[in-house]
Amino acid sequence: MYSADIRQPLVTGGKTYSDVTADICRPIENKPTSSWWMGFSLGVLFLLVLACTLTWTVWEGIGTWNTNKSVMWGWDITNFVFWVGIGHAGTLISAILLLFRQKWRMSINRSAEAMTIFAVFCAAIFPLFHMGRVWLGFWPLPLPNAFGSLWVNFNSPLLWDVFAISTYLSVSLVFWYLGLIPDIATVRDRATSKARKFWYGFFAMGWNGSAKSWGRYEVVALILAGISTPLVLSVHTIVSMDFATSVIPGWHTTIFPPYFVAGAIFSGFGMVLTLLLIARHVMNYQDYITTEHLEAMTKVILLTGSIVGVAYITEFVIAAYSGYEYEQYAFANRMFGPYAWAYWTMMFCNLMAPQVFWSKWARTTPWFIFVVSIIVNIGMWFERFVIIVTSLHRDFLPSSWVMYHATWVEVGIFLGTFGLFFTCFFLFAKFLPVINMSEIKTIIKDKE
Amino acid sequence: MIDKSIQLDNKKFTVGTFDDSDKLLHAVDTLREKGVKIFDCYTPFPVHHLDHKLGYHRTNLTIGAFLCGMLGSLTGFTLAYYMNVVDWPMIIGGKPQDITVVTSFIPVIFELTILFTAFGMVIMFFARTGMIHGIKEDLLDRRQTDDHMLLAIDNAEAQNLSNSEIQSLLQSEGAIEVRGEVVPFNTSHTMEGEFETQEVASVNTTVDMEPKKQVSVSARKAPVVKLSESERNERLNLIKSTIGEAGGAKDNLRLITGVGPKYESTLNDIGIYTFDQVSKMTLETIKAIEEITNYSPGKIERDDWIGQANNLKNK
Repeated sequence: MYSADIRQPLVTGGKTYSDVTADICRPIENKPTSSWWMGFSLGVLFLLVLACTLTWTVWEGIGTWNTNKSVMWGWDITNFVFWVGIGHAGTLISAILLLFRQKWRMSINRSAEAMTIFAVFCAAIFPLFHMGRVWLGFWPLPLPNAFGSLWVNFNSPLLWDVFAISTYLSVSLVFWYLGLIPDIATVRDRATSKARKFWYGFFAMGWNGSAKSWGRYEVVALILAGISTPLVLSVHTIVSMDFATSVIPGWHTTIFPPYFVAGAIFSGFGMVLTLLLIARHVMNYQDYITTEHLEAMTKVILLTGSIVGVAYITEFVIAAYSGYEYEQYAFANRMFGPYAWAYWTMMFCNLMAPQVFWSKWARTTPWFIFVVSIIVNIGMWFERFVIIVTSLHRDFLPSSWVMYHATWVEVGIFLGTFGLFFTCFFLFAKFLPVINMSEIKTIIKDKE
Repeated sequence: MIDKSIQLDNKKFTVGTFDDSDKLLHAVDTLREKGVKIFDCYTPFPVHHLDHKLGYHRTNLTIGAFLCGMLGSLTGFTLAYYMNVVDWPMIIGGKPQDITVVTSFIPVIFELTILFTAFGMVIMFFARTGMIHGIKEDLLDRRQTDDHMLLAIDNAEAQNLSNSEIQSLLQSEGAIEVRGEVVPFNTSHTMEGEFETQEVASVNTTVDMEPKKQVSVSARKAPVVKLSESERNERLNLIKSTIGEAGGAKDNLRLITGVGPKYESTLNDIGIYTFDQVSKMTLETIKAIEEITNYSPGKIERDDWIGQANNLKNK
């Protein structure tokens, strides 16, 4: 096997193949720990908050939110873009890094993909409930016009979004499941209880690791990675077009697609780091998710954070240079208007804070990375808030200028989606192998 | 293209077990050079070049995937064009509703291309490999998805070497175990005790040159036996003789994965108090402990108590 002596091994602790299996199957085969129960209960608690606030929204009507003229998109689209952005790291790690042959992805791709799927679930809640009558949520599908007199409008970025998000969710699920099959088979073959034998046997689809099927499997995984790469890029491009194809000052710019994609990767890696640092600590996976891995991820944060920072400045310069007073005002209003605190929070969290990763110490100190990853999460939420609210609250007609504040229902839904996200993640950590065993086994002897 | 699904029917196999992928690759080379027809290999992870060495061609699934993608593009285009241009033209922003509007259909066409490619290819992969939810897996070794790499030869296939020649060849290639007549089995019919037999058997690295008698699933069942007083004492003595008396202070055995407060007191009852004692356990001791305490068979070994105890002892 290939080995370069100047590199550190990707998995430390001198693990053998059976060590990998035993370590990674341990949480599945043993009773959940008390920290798992604590986290899971907290998740369920917030999930209840989500259930209550959504029920109230449907019962009482969309008026329970403060989204109104002229801020039609308030917290809910902010949250939608926030969650979709977080959903970008998973497929990026497993698809783009696979194409670039970055082997460090192997310890983290499984949980990042899981995170992607749960984040997209959370994201989907917002536009669906923003429609008001959520039981008619299937109307954006291209169905025959028995429901009205028209087909859906294929010129609209909002419809593109329907196609992009649903394709992204389903392709990510398939990719994730395909990667899980060999590991599910491993759990099946170690199972001692009837229920575990049955369920893992059911989902393993008879996998037995034959060389013939591995050959096909690897080709399928490669092609899926190949097509997922443009898919990842397309999803946030299309989300950015929801804004960029309108004529609102501050939105109507061609820089949006690359800027949003970089931001999505940035926020996605922020969330991956937050989650993995917790999981690594709680599940004792320091040998699998080493400081090497953390360092590689902080470098991605540094790069994408800087791209986002450059985009902020470019946007501002172009607005000043355009000679278009509405555009100029929109940016002056962001910086010095009533929402200036949000703007400067965003600038600090996204542009300034990640620059600490130029220091090697910062890149290799877990608790510090954790703090910065939280800052990144906060910063990227504020980015979407700034873009949406500051552009909408003061439009072309000063007589219709308003201030927008979220109601408790909107805040509750947002906090509730964290409940949904963490509940799903804790269930995943209990019932499925958090690290891709079959991939890790190919590199435990490697130094690369 | 060799057609091979993952279902093995009821064939019998000669199986060489390897613990190193390089040895497996070398064995495949040697056997194929001597003209031995290999049925397939089974590995817990993808071993690079194994499929080439076995003479498999690259799969044609990519062509299928391309065709699915094309179908997706066509679907996207037809859908959008028919709905927005032919059936109910909509003038949006004063733009003409003719073929030039297709540019704004591109996102949908693109997404459907990806969707059709992904699903089409994965469904074809499952179909080609014979994978479907709910089928029983055909295994030749319980640890082929854990750490054992198997080289399987179909006994029914005509070979230019005799069975025993093939077996000694596998042995000289570094197989840790060679078995003569292995019948595929699946995990659903096995009971608790079977795991233990399998685990102990796989640790045994001696090579049996005589073809073993057919290993059927029922023969390997080892039901939990209620021990008599004398059998219990015999096992207690065995445990005492291998691990010795507890010297020094009692350790917190709950630090070992798989030991809870209840099982700790059970261990204390049979005279196990320290990590040092646990680290001295042998396979026989473990077996005896499992039998006395009715502990889930094979779990002590799987959780690597000995290794854990060694680590804890040195802390």
